[in-house]
Amino acid sequence: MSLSLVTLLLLGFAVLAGIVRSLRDGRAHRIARPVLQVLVGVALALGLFPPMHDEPLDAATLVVLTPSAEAAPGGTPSRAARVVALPGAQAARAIERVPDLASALRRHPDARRLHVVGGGLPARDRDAARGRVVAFDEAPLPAGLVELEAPQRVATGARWLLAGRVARIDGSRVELLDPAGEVIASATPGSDGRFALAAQARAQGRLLFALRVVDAAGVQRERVELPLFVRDGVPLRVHVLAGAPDPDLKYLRRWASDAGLALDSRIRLSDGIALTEGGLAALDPAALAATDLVVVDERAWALLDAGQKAALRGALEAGLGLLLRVTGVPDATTVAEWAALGFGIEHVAATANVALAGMDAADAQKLTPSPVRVDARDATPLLRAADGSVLAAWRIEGHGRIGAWWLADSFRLVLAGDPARHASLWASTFSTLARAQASAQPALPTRARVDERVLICGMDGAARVEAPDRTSVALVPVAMPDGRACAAYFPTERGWHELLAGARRWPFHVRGVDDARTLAAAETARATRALVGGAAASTRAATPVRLPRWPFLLAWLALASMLWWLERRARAAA
Amino acid sequence: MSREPRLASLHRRALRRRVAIVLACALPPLAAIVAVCAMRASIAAAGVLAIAGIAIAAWVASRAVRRLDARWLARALDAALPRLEDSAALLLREPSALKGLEPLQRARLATRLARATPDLREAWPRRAVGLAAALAFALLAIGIAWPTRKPVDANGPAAAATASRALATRIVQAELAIEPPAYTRLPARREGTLDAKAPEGSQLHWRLRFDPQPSSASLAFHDGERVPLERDGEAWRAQRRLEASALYRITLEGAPPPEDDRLHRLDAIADRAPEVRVIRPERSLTLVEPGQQRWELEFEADDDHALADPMLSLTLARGGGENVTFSERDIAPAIEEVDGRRQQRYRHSLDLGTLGIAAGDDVIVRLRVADNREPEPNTTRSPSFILRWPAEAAGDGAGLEGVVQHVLPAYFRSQRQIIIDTEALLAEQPRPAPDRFLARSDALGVDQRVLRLRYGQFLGEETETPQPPAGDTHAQGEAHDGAQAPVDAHGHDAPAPGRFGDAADVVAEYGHVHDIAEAATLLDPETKETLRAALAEMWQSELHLRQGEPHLALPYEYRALDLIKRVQQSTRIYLARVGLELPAPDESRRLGGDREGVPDRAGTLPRAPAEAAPLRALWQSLDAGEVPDWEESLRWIAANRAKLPDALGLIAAIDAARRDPACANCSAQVRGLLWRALPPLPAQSAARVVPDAAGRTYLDALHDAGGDR
Repeated sequence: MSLSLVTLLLLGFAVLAGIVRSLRDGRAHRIARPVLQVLVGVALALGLFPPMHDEPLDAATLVVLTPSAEAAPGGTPSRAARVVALPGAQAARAIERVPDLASALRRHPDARRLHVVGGGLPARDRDAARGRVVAFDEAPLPAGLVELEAPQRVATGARWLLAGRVARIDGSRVELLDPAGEVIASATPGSDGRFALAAQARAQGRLLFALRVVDAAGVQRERVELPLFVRDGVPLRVHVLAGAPDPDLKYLRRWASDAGLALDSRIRLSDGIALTEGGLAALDPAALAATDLVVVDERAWALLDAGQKAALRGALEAGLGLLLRVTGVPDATTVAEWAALGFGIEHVAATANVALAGMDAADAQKLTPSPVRVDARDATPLLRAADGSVLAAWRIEGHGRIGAWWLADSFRLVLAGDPARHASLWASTFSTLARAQASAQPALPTRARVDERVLICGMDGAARVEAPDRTSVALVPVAMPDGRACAAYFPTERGWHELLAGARRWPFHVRGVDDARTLAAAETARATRALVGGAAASTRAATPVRLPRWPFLLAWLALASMLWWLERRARAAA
Repeated sequence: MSREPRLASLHRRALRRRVAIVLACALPPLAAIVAVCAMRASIAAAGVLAIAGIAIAAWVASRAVRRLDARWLARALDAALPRLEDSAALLLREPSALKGLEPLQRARLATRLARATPDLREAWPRRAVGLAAALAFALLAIGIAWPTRKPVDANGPAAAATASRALATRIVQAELAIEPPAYTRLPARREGTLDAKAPEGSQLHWRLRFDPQPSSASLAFHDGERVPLERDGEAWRAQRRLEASALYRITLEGAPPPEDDRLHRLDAIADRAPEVRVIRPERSLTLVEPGQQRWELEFEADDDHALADPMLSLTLARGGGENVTFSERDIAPAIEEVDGRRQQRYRHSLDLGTLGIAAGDDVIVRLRVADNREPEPNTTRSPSFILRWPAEAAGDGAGLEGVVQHVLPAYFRSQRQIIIDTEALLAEQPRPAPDRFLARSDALGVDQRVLRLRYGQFLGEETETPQPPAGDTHAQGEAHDGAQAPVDAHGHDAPAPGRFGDAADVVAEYGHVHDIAEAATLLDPETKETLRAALAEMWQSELHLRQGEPHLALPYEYRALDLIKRVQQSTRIYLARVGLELPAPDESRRLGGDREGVPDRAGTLPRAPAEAAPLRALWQSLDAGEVPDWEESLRWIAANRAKLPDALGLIAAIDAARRDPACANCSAQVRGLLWRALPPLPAQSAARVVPDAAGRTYLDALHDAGGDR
C-alpha cells in the first residue's frame, strides 16, 4: 500500500467523519457544510497529488542549460521538457543540477537528443555530447575579441600575420603590442569587425605579444596575450642554377646568404662560363642526396644533359625539393619535360601587373608575372595575387615536392622598402618545398588555459611538463585509437610551460583564467555550434506531466475558509 | 518591603559577591578574545566584540542576581544560623501581617540575629575562576601563535631578501633639490626620490642621511665620474650640474651598502629650439599687386621656456640681370604675447613706399627667433618669403633681336690684341708719319697700361683713380708698384657707376684688397710670382710703346702673353680620371670564339655582419634562463649608445637584473628593452617534418598510381 493511497484513505475517512458530524449536530447549513467538506477534501487531495496531463514532448530530448542561458532566446524551456543545468548556469531551483553532461546522460539514459541553451558546452562536455546535439539556442556573444587566428610558432625573422574579429564594439581599434609593450601595428576593424595585423619576429625565444582592443573613446576594452615561440630556422642546403643573372636572383641570393642558408649557385654568364657561389657539386645522385632544394630556371634546365635531368628526377622522387623558376618562355623540349613534371606552360602575349595578396591596396607594390600561363591542375597554390590569380604552385612528386614560380620581379619588394616581406615570401617557399628533415614534434595544446584539461599527443617515450615555477609533472601517455600516444595535463599556472621529451624541450603557453574571456566564450559557442546536427530525428510524443499544485491548494484554502466561516455561523446560531 | 537594615546589608554583600564571581569568570576570556581580535582583525571589530561581550556578561550577571531574592535570603539565613529555627522567612514579612505566635517568634529571631554575624556570601568558586583565567591565556596564546597567511606578492622575495640583508644601510632621508637654470624661470623644487627629470643645465643638490653613518660616501656615475658626498652634521651633501642624462649609484665606505642599491636615473630635458609658424604671407613668393602700398607679415613662435626678441631680416634686391645690388637690414616686429613669453605673435607691416622698391626689385624677409637659453640660445629661422615687383617687359627692344644691352662692353684690349696691333703698326706700309706713329704707339701703351692695372689688382696693387678707358692719358698719375703703394691712394670715396668689367668697383664693393702685394692671398705663391713677372714684362712693353718703339716692346709683349697664359692654366684644377678601367681587350682573340683560359667567376656574396651580436647573445641567454655575460653586453651598449632607443634604461635594467638574479621582473624588463634594441633579422627558412610510416606509404601509393596513369 503506497503512501499516497494511505493519505487518500485517511483524507476520505476524515471527510466522511466531518460529514457525519455535520449532519448529526443539528446546527444550521445542514446541506452546505457537508458539501463543502467534500469539496475541501477533494481540493486537498488534488493539491497533494496533482492529476497527470498529457503534454506533447520529445521524451528523448534533454534540455541542457549552460552558463549565460538566461541571455539566450528561448532560455526558459517548456515545463514538459526534461531540463538539467550544468555548473555555472543560472537556473530555477527546481531544475536538476548536474556536475557535467556525462553525469546528466547517466541519470537520463533515454536521452538521445540534447538541446543546448546558453553560451555552449565547455570542452569537458563536448565528447559526451558528440552526435546528440539537435539544437543550440545561443546566447549573444560578449563584446570584445571573438575570433583570433595567430601562429604559435614561427621561424626567426619571419613576418607573421594575425587576423581576428571584434564584436559589438563600435569604432574600435586593435593594437598589437610587442613584448616591450610598445604599439607596433594597429588596425581598424571593418564593418564585420575583422582585422589583420602583421609583425616581424626579431629574435628567437618565447615571446608574449599582446593585442589590445580600444573603443571609440580610446578606452581599453580588452587585452589579450599573444604567445609566440620563435625558433631558429634550419640552414637548408640550396642549389641554384640559372641561365643568366637577373635582379630577382641577386636579391634571392642576398636573402639566402643573410638567412644563413648553405647556398651553392651557378649562374651562367656565357657559354661555359658561370658566376659561381659556394661549392661546385656536380648534379649527380650523391650530391643531390645531400641537397635540400634545387632552384632551376628554364634556360638552365635546357642546358642540363639527360643524365643530370634523370638524376634530378630521381632525387626529386627520393625527397628533394625542386623549384622551377619560369622567367620566360621555355623551349619546346623544356615545355614537354616540365609538362611531364606536372606543370604545363604556355606562352601568353602579356600579363597584367599584380599586387600580392594580403597587402593594403594603397601601398601595394605592383609586380610582374612572367608572360606564361601555367597549367598545374593537381598543384597547390603557393603564392597568390590580390586578384586571386596564382603566381606559384607546388605538387607532390614521389617523396619530394616540385614547385613552379612565375613571378618575375619579387625583388621589387626589397626596392620598395619591404625586405621583410620578400624574405618571408622566399622563406616560406623554401620551407614548403625543401626536403623533409625535421623530426616530428609533439602536438602541443594551442588554447591551453588554467584549470582546463589539455591533450598533448605524439610523444615517444617518457615525457614531462615543466610549469613556470619549475615544478614538473610526468605525463602518462595512453595509446589513442589512431595509434598516437596522448596524455592529459591540467595546467594550474599561467605562463610558458615546457614539454620535456627526451633531450628536447617544447614550450607552450597557458593562458590565465581571466585572459581572453570573450575569446573563450566565442570558441565555446563555435565548438558547440559545430556539434549541432547528426542526431536522430526527433519523435514527438505525448508525455504525461503532473499539473501544477498551486491552483488546487489555493482552492483548498478558499474552501476551507468558507467552511470555517459557516461552522462559526452555525455554532453562533446554536 | 521594609527590612531590617542588617538583613539588607547581608543581602547586598551576597549580591555583590555573586556579581563579582560572574565577572571574574566572564571577563578574562572576553578580554582575551577582544585582544586577539584587535591583533588579527581590526580595532573596530574588537570594539564591537567588547561591547557585545560586556552586554552578555551584564545580562548573565543580572539573571544571576535576580535569583538571589527574598526566599533565597530566608533559606540562606536558615541554613547559616540554626538558631533561627527555620523561621527566617518571618523576618522578611511585614510585621503587621503576622498572626498568632508569629510576631513573638519574629521578635526572638530579631534579637538572635542581632547577636550573630552570619556571612551569606558564596565562597569564591576557585576552580571556575581558575578555568576562566586558563581559558583566557590559552586563547591569547593561540591567537598570537596561529600562523598568519601573509599576502603573497611580487615584492615578497625582495622583501625577504631585504630582511635577510639586515646589515644594509638605511637611507633615512633622501632629498634631491633641483635648481633649474635661471633663464628657464622654473621654480626650484625638491624631490623625495633619487631619480629625477630636470632641465638640462640644472644644478642638483643631494642631501642624504644614512643609518648607520658611513665613514665616507660618494655618488658613482655610470660613466665613471664620482662626486664625493660631504658630511654636514648628520647629513651628507653633494652637488652636480646636469649636463646630460645619467645613471648613478650611492657608494658608501665604512658602512654596508645602501638598501636601495639600484642605479638611479637622472634625465636631462633638453631645451628645445623655438618653433616658428608663418601666418602671413601664405605663399613663399608674392607678387606686388597694382597699387599695393603695404605688405603685411605675421608670424607666431613658441618655445618651452621663453622667447627672446625676434628680428625680421629684410633683404632688398634691386636691379636686374647682371646688375643686382643687395641691401640688408633688420627690423624688430611688433610683439603680441599669446601665452606670456612662451608663445608670441609678431606682426609687421612693410611700407613699400618708404622702402623705395621699383619694378624688378625683390624684397626677401625671414624671421629669426631665439630663445633665452644660456649660454647659447637656440635660434630658429623661418623660411624666406619673397615679395616681387615683376620687371617690366623690355618694350624698347621691340623689333630687335635679343635684348638691348644696357651695359658698356669691356674697354680694354687683351695682351694678344696688343701684340696683333703692335705687329700691324710695325708692318704698316708705307710707314706712317712719325707723330702719327708715336700717337698710335702711345695709344697701344695706354691699352697696355689698363691691362697691367687690371692684372695688378690680382696682386693686391692699389688701383689708380678709375676713369673711362678712353679718357685723357696724360692726366693719369703713375701706376704704383704694389709694394710701395701710398696709403692715401684709396679710390673708393667716389664710386663710379657700375659697369660691366669694371673690376675696380667690384673690388671696392666686395673684395677691397687693402693689403700689400705680398700679403694678397687670392693666389698661391707660384702663380703670384708668375703674375708679377708678367706685370714686369707689361711695364717694359708699356715703356717702349709710350716711347714710340713698338719693335722694342714686342718681345716683352710676347713674354707677358706667355706668362699670362701660364697663370690662367695654373688656376685650373686637373683631376685624375677614375672609374671603370677595363683591361685592354686582347685583339688577337676578339670575336674569335676562343674561351681558353677564361674561368668561371667566383661569386662575391659577403656574409652580412652580425649586428648587435652581444645584445642577441644576452637575449638568448635570458630566454634560456642562463646567466648572461653582462659585461660584454654593457660594453657594447656603452659603445653604441647613440644607436639604441633607450640605452640608459637598458643599462639600469641590466644593472638591476645583475644585482638580483632571483628577480624575475628585472629580467623581464631587460628583455622588453632588449626587444626594442634588437635589429631585425631576415626571415629564416624552416624544414618540414619527415612523414611517418603511414605518410610514406601514402606517398608511395600516390606515386605508383601516378606511374600507372
